[in-house]
Amino acid sequence: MNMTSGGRHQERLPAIGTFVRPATGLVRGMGGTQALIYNTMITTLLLGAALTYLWAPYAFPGCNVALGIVCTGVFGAMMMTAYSMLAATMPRSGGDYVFQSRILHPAVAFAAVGSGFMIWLMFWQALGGWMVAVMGISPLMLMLGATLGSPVLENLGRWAATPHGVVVVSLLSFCVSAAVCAVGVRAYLRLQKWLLAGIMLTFALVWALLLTTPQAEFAARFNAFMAGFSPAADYYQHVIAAAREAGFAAAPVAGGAGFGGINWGATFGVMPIAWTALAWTMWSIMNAGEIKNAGRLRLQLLQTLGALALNTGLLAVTAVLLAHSMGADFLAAMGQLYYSGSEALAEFPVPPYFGVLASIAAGHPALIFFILLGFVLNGVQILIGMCLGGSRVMMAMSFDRVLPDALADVSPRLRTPLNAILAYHAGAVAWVLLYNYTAVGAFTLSVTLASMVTYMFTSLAAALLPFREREMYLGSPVGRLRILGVPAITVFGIASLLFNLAITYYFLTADRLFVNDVRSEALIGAIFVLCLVYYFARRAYLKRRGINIDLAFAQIPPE
Amino acid sequence: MKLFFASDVHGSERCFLKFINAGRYYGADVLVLGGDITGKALVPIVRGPNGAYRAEFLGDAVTAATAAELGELQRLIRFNGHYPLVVTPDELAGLRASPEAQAAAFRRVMRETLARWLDVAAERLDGRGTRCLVMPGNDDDPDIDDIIASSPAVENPHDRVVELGDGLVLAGSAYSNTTPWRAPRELPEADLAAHLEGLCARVGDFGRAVLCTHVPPYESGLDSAPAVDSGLNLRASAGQPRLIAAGSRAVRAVIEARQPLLALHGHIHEGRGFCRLGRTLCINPGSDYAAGILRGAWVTIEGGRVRGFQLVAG
Repeated sequence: MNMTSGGRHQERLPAIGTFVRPATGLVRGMGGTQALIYNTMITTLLLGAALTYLWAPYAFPGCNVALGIVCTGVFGAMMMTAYSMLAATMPRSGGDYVFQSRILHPAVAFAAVGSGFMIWLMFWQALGGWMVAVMGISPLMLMLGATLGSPVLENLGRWAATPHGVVVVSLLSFCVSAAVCAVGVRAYLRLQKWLLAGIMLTFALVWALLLTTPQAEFAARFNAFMAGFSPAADYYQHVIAAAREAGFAAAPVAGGAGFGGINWGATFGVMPIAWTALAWTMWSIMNAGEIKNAGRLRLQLLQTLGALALNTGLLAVTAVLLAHSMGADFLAAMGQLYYSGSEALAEFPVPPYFGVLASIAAGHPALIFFILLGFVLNGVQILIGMCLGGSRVMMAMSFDRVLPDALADVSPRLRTPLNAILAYHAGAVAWVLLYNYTAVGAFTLSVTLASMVTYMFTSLAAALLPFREREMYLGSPVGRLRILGVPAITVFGIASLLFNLAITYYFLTADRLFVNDVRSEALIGAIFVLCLVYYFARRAYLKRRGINIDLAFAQIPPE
Repeated sequence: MKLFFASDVHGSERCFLKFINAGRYYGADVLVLGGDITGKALVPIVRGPNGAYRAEFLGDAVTAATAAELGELQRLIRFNGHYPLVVTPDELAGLRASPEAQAAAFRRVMRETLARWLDVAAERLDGRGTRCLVMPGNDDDPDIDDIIASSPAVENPHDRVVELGDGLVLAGSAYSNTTPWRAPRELPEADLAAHLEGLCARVGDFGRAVLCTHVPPYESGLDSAPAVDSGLNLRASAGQPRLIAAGSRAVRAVIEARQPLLALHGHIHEGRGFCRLGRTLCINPGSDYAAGILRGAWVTIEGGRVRGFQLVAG
């Protein structure tokens, strides 16, 4: 049977079409723009950007941050394509849990998704709370205090960045996220446009500042700001000099010995950090309708890849502008001193993420407010978005009886899965305490590594789909796509798997990402194994009650 | 007694065949198909002068040069819940020109397909002692009712109270409340309420009754569906489909008032789940027919109680 796209067919044959009768549920799918916006905004943009710009030069001296972000987007596109193709074969159900349980094994699905997208998603709550406090409220209060001459605000800002302060701010933020999730998705969607507007305003203001602030002017403003905290006459040069004294060699980010003058080894090292921001653009609910066709697949690809491209561009351009305005050496030195815990930076009042540096460049209280407000809003967005995703996963697992039935209960008054939302936040509280009072706080990027496990299993599911679910594969628009004779979904699944393995390699070998600590690796491994053990224990328990949870996923033969 | 329930196969031959095999697979005594059996799309396959066949499948042009390729194409079309129809170019032109001809073609193919399915059901269920109830849904034209009635293998529980054995009965209703699609079996809520009252009046003990209404109860969590506008475009907010409760208030009222032992529903494919309205366990297994996945639920009833249940994806 010859299947060709209309454009490649040798003769122009008139279109035949399909006749569709009026039937419930046949809708015109959601417009591409809508889902593209959602996928663009669901990412942890400001958090990931802030971490990347400061951490990458420390972890991988000599890296070209902007190019590293672009590489992340390019290679990450493999994973987004694999996800889009999987969604095209299962347009109604979708999601890592269904993909893995159907194609691999339900125990694997529960362990990978239960750990990566349930338990570690609760970790994101702790990270979101931290972001609200340390990247948002703390610098906001402190910068306003310094600018307006208010010691009260300054002290509040300092307190908000302490472990106690972060915990309090996080718990208060959880009240907001729990309340919004309890009221329902509609409340979040109404709030979301304001959150997104605030985040975009931050980017817009930062770009405007960076474009209009030459390096010498930034240095002057920076020094003027630091005059209130340090006797050093030129704190800008002090930062660079201190980093050099600490052994930081300001290796060129371009014009060096590598191919094209780029230090590629270091530049690729940016990917694990940048992936923390960019890995989320497949999160939209792909409601492309029931009539599968190539157009729907193209739309889904546009939505995921388009969002990835937009976010990659946003982060990369910001990186270029930061280096242009503030100086690449200065930024790298800041990261070096901050992440090494150097005393040379002790006088700098807050963690020097780019929002703070941009606020220093801004100088005006109103600009400071709106720049740093975006970080607060992104933190709140993370909290709500992760809760909605995590509680949905819990509900799905509860419907399968893998998790207790009570987690699927919907509040008769609020019509939301209140039990799942509360359970999710209970787990998040545990993470907040661990993150802020124990060594877990050093393993921030463990959350990305833990997600890699989920992504890798889904990538494997994509690669194996044509062989494990042949009929489903052939009956979908993906079934006709091949690359050099190999099913395209297999190619992209393997490419995605290799990309995630490469990221994992960096995490396990790069000391300065702080993840290749035996405690971090043990934590990730232990949670995965715990989920696996729980699955089999639950299976045994239900079997004694006459329920075989393997049947939840086992395929009935049609013959 | 073990009952297996699925719904909304929408013309997917693969899903229907899985449904028929579900009795053997899950050890079920009773199979219940809860509505929306027929497909939504007709795919013309045009016979060309050179003996090759052309069609548009999943948005792309397809040619089938041999009988084997034609058979494969038809099989994949049916996998997606669509109906293949071999036509000549003139017949295709006739279909394009006349909505009545399209409707007639749909009815013919639906009836032929359903008859073939029920023949397979009769063959596979013969001698097994498995009861099979096949109920139409709001999307199913009343034209198919006589096909179901004439099958020796299945029964249609729509607007009937069927004895299941062990003192249990099942009362069925194929209707839904009104939808933007104006499907063949829709009733305004008041009329649906009256119909359900008439049905329930024939049920003796609701404590031993299974109520099978195609449409789920309103605001039960089993009825969350994407909202559409008058042009049947998905309504979205910030990139997310806006979800509304599309279930029936009349169904909810009946369940809350009568408190049957079990309530089984379909209609809302995204509404997979279970909930309790009072003491009634309500289940909607959802539907993923387009992926060839038969979403269903098995329920064990013993001593007048639901002893166990499970949502499955077979």
